[in-house]
Amino acid sequence: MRLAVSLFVGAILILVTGCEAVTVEDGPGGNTLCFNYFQSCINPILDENIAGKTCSASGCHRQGEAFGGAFRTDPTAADGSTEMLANFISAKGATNLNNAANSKLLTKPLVSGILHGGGVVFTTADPQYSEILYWINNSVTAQDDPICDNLFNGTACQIYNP
Amino acid sequence: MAAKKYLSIIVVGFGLVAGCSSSSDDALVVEGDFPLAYVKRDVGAAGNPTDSVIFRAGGDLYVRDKSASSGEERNVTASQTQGQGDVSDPEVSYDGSKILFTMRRPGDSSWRIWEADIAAYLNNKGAGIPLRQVMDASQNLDAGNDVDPAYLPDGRIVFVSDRLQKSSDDTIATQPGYRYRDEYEREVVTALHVMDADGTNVRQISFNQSHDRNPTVLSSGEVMYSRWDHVGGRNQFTIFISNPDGTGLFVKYGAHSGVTSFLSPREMQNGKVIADAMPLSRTSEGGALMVIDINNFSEAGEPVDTSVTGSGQSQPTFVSVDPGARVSTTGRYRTPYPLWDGSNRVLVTKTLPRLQDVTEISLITGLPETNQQEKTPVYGIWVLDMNTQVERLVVNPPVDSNGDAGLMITDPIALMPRPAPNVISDKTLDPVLAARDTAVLSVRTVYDTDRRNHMNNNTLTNYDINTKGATIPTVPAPVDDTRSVVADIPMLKTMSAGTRAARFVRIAKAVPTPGGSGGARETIGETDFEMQQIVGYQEIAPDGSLSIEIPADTPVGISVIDEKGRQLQTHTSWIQARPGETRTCNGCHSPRRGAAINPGITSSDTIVPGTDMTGNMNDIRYYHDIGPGGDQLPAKLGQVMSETRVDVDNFPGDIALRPHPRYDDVWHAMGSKDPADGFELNYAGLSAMPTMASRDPARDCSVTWTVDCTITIDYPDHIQAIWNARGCTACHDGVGSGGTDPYLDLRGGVGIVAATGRYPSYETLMVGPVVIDPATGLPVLQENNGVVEVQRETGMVQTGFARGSRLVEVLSGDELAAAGAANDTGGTDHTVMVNASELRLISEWADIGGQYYNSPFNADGSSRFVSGLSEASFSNCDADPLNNDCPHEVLINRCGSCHLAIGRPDDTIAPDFGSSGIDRFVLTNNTPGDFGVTITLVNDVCTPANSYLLAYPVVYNTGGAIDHPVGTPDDPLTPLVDESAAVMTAVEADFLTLSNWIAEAQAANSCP
Repeated sequence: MRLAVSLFVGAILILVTGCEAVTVEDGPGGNTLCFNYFQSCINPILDENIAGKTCSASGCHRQGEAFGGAFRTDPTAADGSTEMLANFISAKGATNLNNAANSKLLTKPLVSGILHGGGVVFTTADPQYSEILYWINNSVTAQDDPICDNLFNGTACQIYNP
Repeated sequence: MAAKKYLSIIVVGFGLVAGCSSSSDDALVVEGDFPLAYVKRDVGAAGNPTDSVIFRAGGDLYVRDKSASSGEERNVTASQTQGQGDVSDPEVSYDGSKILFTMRRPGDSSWRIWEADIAAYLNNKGAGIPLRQVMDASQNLDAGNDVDPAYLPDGRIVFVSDRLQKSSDDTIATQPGYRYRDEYEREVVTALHVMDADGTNVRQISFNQSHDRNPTVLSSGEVMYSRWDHVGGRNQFTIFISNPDGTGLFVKYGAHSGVTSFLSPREMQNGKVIADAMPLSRTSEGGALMVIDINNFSEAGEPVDTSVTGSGQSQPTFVSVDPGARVSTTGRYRTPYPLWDGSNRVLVTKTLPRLQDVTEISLITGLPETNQQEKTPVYGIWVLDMNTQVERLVVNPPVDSNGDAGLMITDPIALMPRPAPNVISDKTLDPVLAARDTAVLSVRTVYDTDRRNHMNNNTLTNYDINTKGATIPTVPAPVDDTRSVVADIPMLKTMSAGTRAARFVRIAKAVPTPGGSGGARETIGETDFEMQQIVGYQEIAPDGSLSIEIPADTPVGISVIDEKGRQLQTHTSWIQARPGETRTCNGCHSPRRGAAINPGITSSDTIVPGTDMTGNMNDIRYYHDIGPGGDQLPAKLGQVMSETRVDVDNFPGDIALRPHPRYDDVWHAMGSKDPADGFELNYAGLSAMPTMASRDPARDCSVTWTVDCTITIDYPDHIQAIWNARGCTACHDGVGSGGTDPYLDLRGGVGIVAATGRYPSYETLMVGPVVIDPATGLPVLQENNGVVEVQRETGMVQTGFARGSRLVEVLSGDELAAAGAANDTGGTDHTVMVNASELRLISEWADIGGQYYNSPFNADGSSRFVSGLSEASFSNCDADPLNNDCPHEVLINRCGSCHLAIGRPDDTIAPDFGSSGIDRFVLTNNTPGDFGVTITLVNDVCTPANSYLLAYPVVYNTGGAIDHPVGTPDDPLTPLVDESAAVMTAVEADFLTLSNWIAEAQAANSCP
């Protein structure tokens, strides 16, 4: 038996107005995270083979198949899809906007003072760490999202450092 | 350092002086003052950690404009309480403008949560302080006591309540609905709840058998609280965390740190936690202040990795307090509140040491003993500077001429803002599982264990090692791991099933007791465990992994068992999961930080050529490397073996629990199958057993497994049936027929009832022989809350551990963990007397606690109860201690000359207690104690003369199994004994006094 694929949008308002136009309702804490940056730069990390490990692997966090705790991600999610939005919500749920480096999205793959069934995935010296940290550190308001162009260095997923 | 100590002593001394004078100048201000709030309550409200809700009239909430003894104080709640209510647990909002608190006003039936708006007051001390009851009348205000509120950063409120919003709903489905009691069968349990800011949308988020208390919110957004962690002998308050929706519940600190109770944990500005550490009772909820480094330690001696040194906890005070002492010579602290102003200070409630010498007669020795005791505490509020260890008194309670305080001043909070924590929204959970009210539990390997000898080779017995050939192979631990070795997972994968220690997982759920007669201690039996029911079984994969569906919102225990249904170690904690949640663990007792030792399938495992169909990592097919023929289940990256098995669509059973332990070798091809393939340990060998469900036969797990089914083992219905069906009572009949031990009485049934109202077989299996001090020949006594108890060895059944039970060893012939050789049974082979099904049932019963009943209700819905002999009748004597007008006097006067362990006329001559190893009759002249020991000798209420208590004294020189020894004429301690006659006859008045007392219980026990 496979676990049912679950998608619970909750307080998130989705407005699909084209390929990438997704609006995310402001979170109760005031700020939220940039969906566009997640879609372009963070979600690929979750599907990436990082030294033999992949977050979205079936035995780890793959939506509908895996057993890896609350964090789930669907490697088949297309840009602008509800599946991508679900990936965003799940990843955002593992962040700490007050203390980005203390986010489970980072401490888990670092195995930094926490349990992680998948062991160490990357280190603080790796680009995956820097990009995720950058994404969380640059929370935006609902008015910024989903554009949040200021997070991008051009179109590349490099950390914008003016 | 010396100067610092000197300063501290001076300041403590100043505090003493300042506390006695309201006009003292506040000469020592370490940092700037701040406004604060606190409560004044009757000092009797300072109970024990196990008391979650205490009401004492006279409590109120106060605000004070500055943290100095010269500050101006204002009663916030006087208009509501009018001096007859009570207030507790204030908590400030993150912007510092509001105070949540709980209050019970005169006329209220329960505690309710209120909010005080202090924004205006903070700017103008003369301004009003509006109050708001958070819930309105539409929220069923009388459903329970709501206490311990705290703000969540999204505006909601987490609080503690005994309304048990969901648990009581759940009990209605299968039982009469009830709010259940703690594991002392005492208070209604309090659990964490969450509600919206307006008091609506109340929902329970924690599910425990005893109280959850003192929730606060960490910067991470997780809720941290103190959980009464109580299963069997485990009885403590440990720091737990969970998300605000109740998911991710996990022990955070304090399960193995040398402190019984951690209360009132709060996060400090530096990320550490400060809590109050104390025993479980009798300290007025006061103890040592303890700073805990929760980010670098999971326990005091367990750093997260090898780079961290030192201890996880330390006391920040200049003078430390023994956190385990019932009498503290250095005072006590409670309810710390750390400041978030960068000053490293903490507001705290404190009492200075108040000791007195009390002389009492020892119940054990009968001699006067002088002991130091604590007087009623004088709790006031202090500020502790943790940089300098200087303490400064802020508010001292008024004291009378004796220095006693009727009120305590406690629960201080600083009225200043602090950064709001991270917001954790409610998690996305699986809707299918949620609809079934279940969750998934996945353990990567049960062999991932900590340093406490759990699930390693120290767990194994002679049977495992020498009969099964079992071992748990190890390899050196990874570099950063704090352990020296860890289990060798690749090696475990290749071992045959018959040599694996861990074969199955058993899930049992806690059965809450409703209080009253149903679920009373006598009904549960001679065990520290509460009622439990088995939910089902599943296989543990060769790598030690397991993936199962468990009931949600239910405290469940996990047991790793062998092929005969016996757990390898006693499980002593409950876990919970919310509906739709997936809980993943590295191991059952793994270190709480770090990587799993079972990585699952990695890219280094076998890859089948040509199966990389799309180039996506997820589509590559791997196989767990388990030896020849072991390529039958294609695996995916990261999967442990149980996950692979569940993921294969065409395999039945997969994640659901099963009624019976069953092993199928799905891993190997035909011809390479494990010899144990297709093995099932079921109940087929049981004869004429009643249903295993507590009330509804359709919910019998042993017939059909469903989400809410149970395997309920009630001793009278299920275990006694084995003794009766197997003819055990032909020998073990209470009189020693065939030369058997007469004390091993396995009888039970209608008209065969012991003094407790339970079957004599239950008593004889559970109550062990008296412990005799070899130096004196006297029984070893102990005092327990005013009752003198005889220390006893473990009975034939070790509650919570079948493998430690002599009964199981004798019936199985396996050398397990009980004392004595398994085959030392007087030449009689007992291994042929029960079959595998019966042995499984007996082992299950012992493992879950050896209870008499595991269901609080009869089939008709009425409460279970047992009706034993009366202690009141036992000691209903007149003033003359020599006229033998009650059973206790008869026993003291007629039997005490030999059987009295203390208070004898000449203690230099010891009686011959225990020379036979079976003498259970030890009197101490302590009524409850003597009652307790006497009823162990009443094994037949319906025929009193057949009970040991009366059958023994009337015989002598029989040479049989029952043969009361006669005295020695020149022994001054046995002057009444005549070698030519029994010590008592069946026609004399004393005999009849005892017999009539026993007969009082006949009517309630259906004696013929």
